[in-house]
Amino acid sequence: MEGEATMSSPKLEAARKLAKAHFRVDPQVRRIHLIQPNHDQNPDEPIKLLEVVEGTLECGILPVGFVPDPAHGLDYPSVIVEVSPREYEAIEGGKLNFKDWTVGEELLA
Amino acid sequence: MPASDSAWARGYARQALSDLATREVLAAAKANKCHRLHYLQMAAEKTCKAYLTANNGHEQVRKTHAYVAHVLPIVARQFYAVRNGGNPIAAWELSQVRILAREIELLAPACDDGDVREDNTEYPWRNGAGEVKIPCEYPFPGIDDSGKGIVRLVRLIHTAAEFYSSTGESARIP
Repeated sequence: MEGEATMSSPKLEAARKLAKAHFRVDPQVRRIHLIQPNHDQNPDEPIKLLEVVEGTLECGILPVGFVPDPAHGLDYPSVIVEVSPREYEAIEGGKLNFKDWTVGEELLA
Repeated sequence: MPASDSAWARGYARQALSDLATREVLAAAKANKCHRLHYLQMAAEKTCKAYLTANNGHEQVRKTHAYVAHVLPIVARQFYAVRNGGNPIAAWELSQVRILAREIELLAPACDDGDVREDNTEYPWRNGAGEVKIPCEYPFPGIDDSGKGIVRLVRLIHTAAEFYSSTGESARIP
């Protein structure tokens, strides 16, 4: 699945930092993608991550939302969608079939 | 005017905190394990629903118990990553959260793992040998509810519910 090219922004940097932290604490995380649209200039719109996790229960696209935690360095709300490797492979054309969300840039460990 | 999903979400978080407080009272009074686990299961479920409701809608989330095993590890990963990212035992703790979250989800009578698991904290059930088993007499061997794993899990649920109950409004997708 090809990631969408995205220019850097404070919000994108926060997404990359969050993804690295998730990789660091959880060895079951296989891949993480940014979910588009990211609305880089809108701080009220959450960072949205698609996380491919080995062994997770297959629940489809079930967004879990988190409030900002500025006291611990996370200034944006965030949403995590966790899927299994099999569910990830079944995503067709990068479309998550939830709102207008699509699979974007892959974020690295 | 209908209640907002964010208001429902905060309501779930606050009720989860009350469930946890009740669990502590029951534990101090040495209530049967089924009752202690029942309140732990309810607290876990409501905390997960708090984190789901703002984005998926109250109507979608309210009807099922079967979210804990999927959502609680996600909540744990986020809190460990944001608040305790340098913790070298976070990976081990997360693996424990996954195991316990599955066991806790199965404590609800509506969750039976495809008819494989009938044990639950509320109603008697018939085991594979045809015997009626009673929650207040059953040891629930899959969960040591005074062990370190549960202590950490209770702390996580409390932190997650408390954080959401005070700040949940901004978790909504605009």
